[in-house]
Amino acid sequence: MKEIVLETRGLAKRYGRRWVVEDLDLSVRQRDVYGFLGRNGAGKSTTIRMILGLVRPTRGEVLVAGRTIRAGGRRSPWPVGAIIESPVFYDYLSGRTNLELLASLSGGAPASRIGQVLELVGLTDRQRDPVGVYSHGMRQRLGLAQALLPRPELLILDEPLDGLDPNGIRDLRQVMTNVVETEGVTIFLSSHILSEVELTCNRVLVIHQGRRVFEGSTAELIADAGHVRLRTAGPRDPEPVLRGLGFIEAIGRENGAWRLRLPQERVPELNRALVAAEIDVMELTPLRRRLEDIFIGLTEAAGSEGAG
Amino acid sequence: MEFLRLVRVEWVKTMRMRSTYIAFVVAGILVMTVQLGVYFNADESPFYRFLEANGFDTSLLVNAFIGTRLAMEVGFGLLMAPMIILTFARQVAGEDLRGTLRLMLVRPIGRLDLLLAKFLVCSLYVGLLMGFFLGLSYGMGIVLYGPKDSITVARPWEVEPETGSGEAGGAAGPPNQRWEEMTEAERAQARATRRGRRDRRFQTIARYVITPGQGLKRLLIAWPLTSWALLTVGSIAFFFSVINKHPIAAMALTVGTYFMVMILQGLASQSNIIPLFQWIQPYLFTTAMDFWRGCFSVEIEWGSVGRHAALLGGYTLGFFALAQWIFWRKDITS
Repeated sequence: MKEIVLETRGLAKRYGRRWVVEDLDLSVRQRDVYGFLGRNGAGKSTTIRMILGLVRPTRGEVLVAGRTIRAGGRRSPWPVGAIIESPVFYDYLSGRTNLELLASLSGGAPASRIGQVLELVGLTDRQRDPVGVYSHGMRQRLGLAQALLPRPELLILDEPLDGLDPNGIRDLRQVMTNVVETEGVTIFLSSHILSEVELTCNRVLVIHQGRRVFEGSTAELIADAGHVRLRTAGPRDPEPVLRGLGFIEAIGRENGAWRLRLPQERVPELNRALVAAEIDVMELTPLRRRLEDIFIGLTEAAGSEGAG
Repeated sequence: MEFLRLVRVEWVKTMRMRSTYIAFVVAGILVMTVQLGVYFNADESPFYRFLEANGFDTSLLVNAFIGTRLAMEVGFGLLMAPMIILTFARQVAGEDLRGTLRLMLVRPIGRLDLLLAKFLVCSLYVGLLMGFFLGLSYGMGIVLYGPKDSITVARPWEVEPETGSGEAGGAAGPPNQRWEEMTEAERAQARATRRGRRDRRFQTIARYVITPGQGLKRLLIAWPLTSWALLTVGSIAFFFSVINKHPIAAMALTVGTYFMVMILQGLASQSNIIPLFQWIQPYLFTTAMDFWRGCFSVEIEWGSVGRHAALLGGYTLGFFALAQWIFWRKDITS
């Protein structure tokens, strides 16, 4: 069992009479790349700020590496690096000086480490330029560099892909993959770019109006509840065979192929039955849903429940 | 150790910011204007003419100290205080607005430590600014007049101009009566009146004449006192910086408070109609802020200086403690 790096218990925040986050439980394990999803105003940023000690929870608690985090207090050790929304820096200072100052606030870092993170994010050539002249993408990369400086165990990234071009997104994804693999970092990623979350995250949490609507593995979420697509060739009609197999729960047609629902572990059995009936199987593919569709479905369902 | 690192970070941030030096530039312009004004035009002043008419060696009258005192008189309340407000008011609100506050607070530093480090750096800045102001002014005076302060009058501008002309000396005789038309007895009375008035004027001046050679020493005493006084205004700006998201709002509130209290002080000193104002006057921070002038009396009344310094310290500590308490509880949502 992997160690829990980040955990919230009954976390809640109220502004005035409105609960922005309500009784949120989550747990992120070591080396997870954990996607944190929700519509605008769902309470993602407030949750992240509570985790980082910027916002004081109305109730509940946050534990990082088993220690309770209190807003405002000194935190030591603090194995966390973070980017919150658009990374901002002291524009009149160079990228390197910004990193030097921020490193000293995290207990100091040798010059070699600063050089290392600058190289990792591809800013070595521009390190002496004032941040004021950096492009948005360069600022995002510098944001990642400052987050990685103290060699964190947990990296909290709030919308790190915002405003990046496709190359920038690919580069950032590559950096994230690298740090997980080479430095064993756990990533907590909040993003609106669901295709990226689908590509990079092994677990996801979906919240709506401050409440959890799903937490689990990405594979589990996007697996289409046991649906497979079957495409055959030749004169034989597979329908009688399919109807004769008791474990097939639903049979339908979709774009010239069969869409079947059955337990995933019975798929090989289905294949054997078709071959035995001399039906040429051209395709037998477990279907996956797009995360975007699932996300919209989950949040709309939660919304209508809330309205009801 | 970690706290010292934090102070260093704040120091680097402050000293590398161009706007930090605006106050130094403005102070420099004021000092030069006043010193050059004194250099070219002091001999036109009633004070100068009065001493000249009474046989004083006026070449020793205008010196580095006089120019510096005049620059302090005009620059302290109306220029240095607003400059300090600009610096203190942007400390938290400015960083909150830019978003750099969250950049710092997601690191393992305590909020109280951060605020204390910012306040310490700002206090150093106040000391530097006042040191620059006094040092530049005195240095420029030395260049213009040489190292002399044989007659060191703390408040020459308080000497009233001499009215009237001629031997009668204006109001010395009966109204509108010419000297030639006076009787001997009237002339003797007029001479006596004029002598008496001149003696009183000398006595007034004597109250402010510091022992020769004391000018620089008194300015060195004034340095920490003026810095201490400005720190009080700074602490108010700091407090407003914590409770506002925008530095302009913090500046406006502080300037508003500062001028409002100055108006109250003015009402109290000019009117005896409303006793309440007179009752609160000794407790207003603007009243106490003038305590640095005490170091230019012939004899410094240390008891009075200490009382006012303690009152200002109370204000500073109070506003800073309030700022800490609010900042500790504040949600950083920028």
